[in-house]
Amino acid sequence: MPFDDEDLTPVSLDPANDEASSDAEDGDRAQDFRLFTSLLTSPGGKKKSQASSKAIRRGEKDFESHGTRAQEGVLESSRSAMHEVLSYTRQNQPRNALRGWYFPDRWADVVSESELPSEVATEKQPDDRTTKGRGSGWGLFARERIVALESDAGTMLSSMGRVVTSAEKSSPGWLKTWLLPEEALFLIERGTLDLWWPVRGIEEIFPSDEDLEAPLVKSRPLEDYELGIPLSLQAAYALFIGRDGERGKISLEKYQVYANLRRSGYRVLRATPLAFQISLSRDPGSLWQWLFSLIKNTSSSFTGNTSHPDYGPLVKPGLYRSYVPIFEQLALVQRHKPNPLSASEVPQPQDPFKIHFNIWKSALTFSKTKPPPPDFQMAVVDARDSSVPTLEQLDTLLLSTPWDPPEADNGKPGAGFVYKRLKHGWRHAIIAVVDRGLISYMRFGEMAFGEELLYQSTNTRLRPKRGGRAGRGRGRGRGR
Amino acid sequence: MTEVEKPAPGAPQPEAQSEPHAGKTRNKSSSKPQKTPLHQIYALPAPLRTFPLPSFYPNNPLSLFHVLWAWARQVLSPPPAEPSVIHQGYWSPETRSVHVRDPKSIRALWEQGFFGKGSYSRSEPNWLKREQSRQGEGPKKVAELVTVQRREERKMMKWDRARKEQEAILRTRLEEAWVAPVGPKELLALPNSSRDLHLSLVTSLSNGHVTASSSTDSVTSQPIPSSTSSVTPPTSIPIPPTLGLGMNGDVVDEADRSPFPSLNNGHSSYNPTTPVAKRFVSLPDTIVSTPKRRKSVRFSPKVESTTFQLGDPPSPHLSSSTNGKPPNGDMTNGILPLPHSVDSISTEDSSTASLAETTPSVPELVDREYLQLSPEEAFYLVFALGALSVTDPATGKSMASGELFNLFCQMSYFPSSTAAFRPDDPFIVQYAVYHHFRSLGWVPRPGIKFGVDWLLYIGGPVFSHAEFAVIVLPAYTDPYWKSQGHQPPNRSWHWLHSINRVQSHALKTMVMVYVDIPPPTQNLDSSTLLKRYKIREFFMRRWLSNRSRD
Repeated sequence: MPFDDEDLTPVSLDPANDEASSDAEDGDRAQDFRLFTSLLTSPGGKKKSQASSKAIRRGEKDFESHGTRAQEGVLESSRSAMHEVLSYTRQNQPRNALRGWYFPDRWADVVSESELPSEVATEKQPDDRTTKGRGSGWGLFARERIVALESDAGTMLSSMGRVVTSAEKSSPGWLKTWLLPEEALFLIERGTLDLWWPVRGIEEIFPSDEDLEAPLVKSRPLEDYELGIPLSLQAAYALFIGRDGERGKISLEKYQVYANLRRSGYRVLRATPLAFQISLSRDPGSLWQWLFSLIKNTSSSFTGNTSHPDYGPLVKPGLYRSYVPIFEQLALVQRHKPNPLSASEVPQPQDPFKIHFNIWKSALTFSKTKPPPPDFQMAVVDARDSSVPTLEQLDTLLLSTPWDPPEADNGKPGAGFVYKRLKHGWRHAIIAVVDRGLISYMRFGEMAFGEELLYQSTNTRLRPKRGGRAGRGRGRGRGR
Repeated sequence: MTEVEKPAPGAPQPEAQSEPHAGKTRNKSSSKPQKTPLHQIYALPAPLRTFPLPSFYPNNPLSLFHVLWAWARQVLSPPPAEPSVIHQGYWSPETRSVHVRDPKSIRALWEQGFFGKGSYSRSEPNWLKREQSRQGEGPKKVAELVTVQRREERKMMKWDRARKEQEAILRTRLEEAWVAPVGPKELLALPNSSRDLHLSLVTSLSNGHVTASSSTDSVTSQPIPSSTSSVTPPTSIPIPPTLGLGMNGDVVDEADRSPFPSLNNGHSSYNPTTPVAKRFVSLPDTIVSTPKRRKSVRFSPKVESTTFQLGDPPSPHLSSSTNGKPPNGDMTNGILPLPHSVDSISTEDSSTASLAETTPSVPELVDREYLQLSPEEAFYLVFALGALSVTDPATGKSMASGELFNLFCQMSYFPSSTAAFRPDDPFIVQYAVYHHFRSLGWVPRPGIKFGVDWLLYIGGPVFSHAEFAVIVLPAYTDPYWKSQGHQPPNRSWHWLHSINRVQSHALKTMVMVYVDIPPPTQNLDSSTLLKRYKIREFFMRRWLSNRSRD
């Protein structure tokens, strides 16, 4: 019989609780370098990795040397694998190398998206090409784009960089891929991008086609170092990292989150104030549900309006045939009823509790101009500057995320279904809490316990699943 | 006492069996309480009874008569209006809780909605049962003992796992210790015939056994042959330095380097298994008959390490037995004296018990335990259900609901404030949450041991673990508070993370419950006041970037 004050039992390996147990486990484990070596050594390479021959299970630890040669051998192979990984020479293929030029003020006069009138913003569809207005491409932060690439080859650009489509034809920098500060910094850190400081104007660095024809006959093209000078990584940090709200810069916390997510393999784009238009059109069967919900609502509001005795017992003395009327008389405190909002009703969240990044899982096909609805939406806050959000902050943050109700399984009773529905929630957002470079991602979701009237189904509680969590004490020991 | 526990046959839903059940089923002491399934003992979700009509089956016309009969009986002699039993509670200003002393009421409040906590128990008020079963009065299964037994099993499992690891290590060590006989000496010492070989094997084996079966503490003084030089063959035991030498030399080497018992542990691997296995088999009945293991664990004179150290003896129990002492002979040694037999219990455990706790040794036990109701629970029982009446010890009179409300609000501060009611008094904030979840059918229980305000059980703590851990935060969204500039207290992210870490380790989902505080008003009654509060729930859990990527 479990007790509510049972001391902590170790994390079970029950697959049913996979979500919870994975939550409990720590995300950052020691890296097994042998996996790296097997990656690095090509199959036909002359170096045969001795370490990858026998890979032990991840997470198995030896705490103490017990003097066997087998243990020493494992340790030694692991160590040599680490050395091998660390001694790996990184090579940048010349064909993948990119060169970018820092032009902070090229798009400074473009109207920023957040300043667009809200009617335009809400009416516009992502694929609506007809809307004119400068810099009105969806999710294109033209004002913020400060680095122009000379070429747009490379796989890295599948989810970063945009061509500013609204620019006038054959204006300098037209048809070039322009990077946001976090994108440029990430590529520089990765070694893919060379950042150059232009000495000449943009017209000379990116000569338009007609210009290109004319000077060629006149004079030789300018040498690299006549055009500008290369910048170091430190310079890139100094140029790109700034405070929130500065044009063409990004705060350090946001960049850290961006870089962390990119390195983990996600596709990350800046969130636009234009929300993804999730169609709120109800499916055809829902008309009936809507009608029924009306009936239910009226009935429940009717019972809710029953006059409660001021001080006396809420449950009136009498004869009851079931517990449902008893519990209905107890309903007193206001419950939350989640509702989908139309776009005009969505409140504007305030910094820092607003969605900063849209995140997609790594999928094969991805269009950065017309991205699908994001898998996750994230706000970035500083752990020291901000505190746990208040109700309004959290509510407006979640209201700005898409409506994502739990699976409609007609309110199946049973604890498992109830838990599943409750834990799914109605809206979700991730808050990345950055504490001086360390990032903790917390997922918040809007719940509605009021939608689950436990007392209506008497068999919800009465069939405790055997096994399951009752036997969780049999799992692995603590501290392993 | 337990005859009323039986449900009406053929009653499919548990409510149907509630007729004479609720009032008198407490204190089922002796006859056969273990047979009753949990969902029948804890059938009622609130201390109120319902009287459902029997169901009518169209294919069985007789059931119509059954329905009619039940209806007619309820009309002619109506059962007392619910709540038919109003339990008596006493406000205790010292402990700031409401005490219920009547054993029947204690059982009723516990079984019908899991209210309160036993003053001597961790949650269920079963001190008397525990004591009785401790003194061996009849076989009783108490939940705490099951917990102790589970912990014991877990400990044995861990020990067994550690033993297997040690065995594996020793095996590899032995394998590695064997060297091919290549030197001249070793070649000379090779056996000349298969008979020789057989002999040497036997001696080396017996040698190993000698080491294993010798006692633990005498090993250091045991004449370990050639402890410094592994080349010279041992003088005392004439083994040819082939296989025996390799083994012995390595073994000695180990003994020098590392603490000894790991060696002994591996060697004597077959000795410990038998008592272990025996213990496992005989655990359930030893538990029932010897209920004092928990106490002896708790008050053990030595702090026992929970992790298995390499230098530890294989098991505390085993260490006592390998020391050659009888299991009941030495109290300081046996950390957890293992009750193998009845006489060992009677001798040793009585001494521990008399040391550990001051149990009156009178044969007849008086139930001195009472039920503690937290202010929220007590007010819910009084205000919502009307199933409790709280007596003020100062006046000796029953307190009205409004009086009780004011008292609890004042008592939610420390020292208690006599100031006027504020809409964000801790009591009313917590009570709004408690009432909210209770009115939806959840069973909230205090969650201080998990660092939260409430734990939510879906049927009660006897059925399943709590799935949700609730932390209550006030919210001031009303324009009145805005105009006052009133802000909720700032909570740091570190605070939230530490709570969430505990919950995720205990496999609970953390729920942040915001209580929207209404602006203050004049003199409202409790129900109108509570209607103005609004509850919002948000779950929170960690998001692992390397697990969510697909």
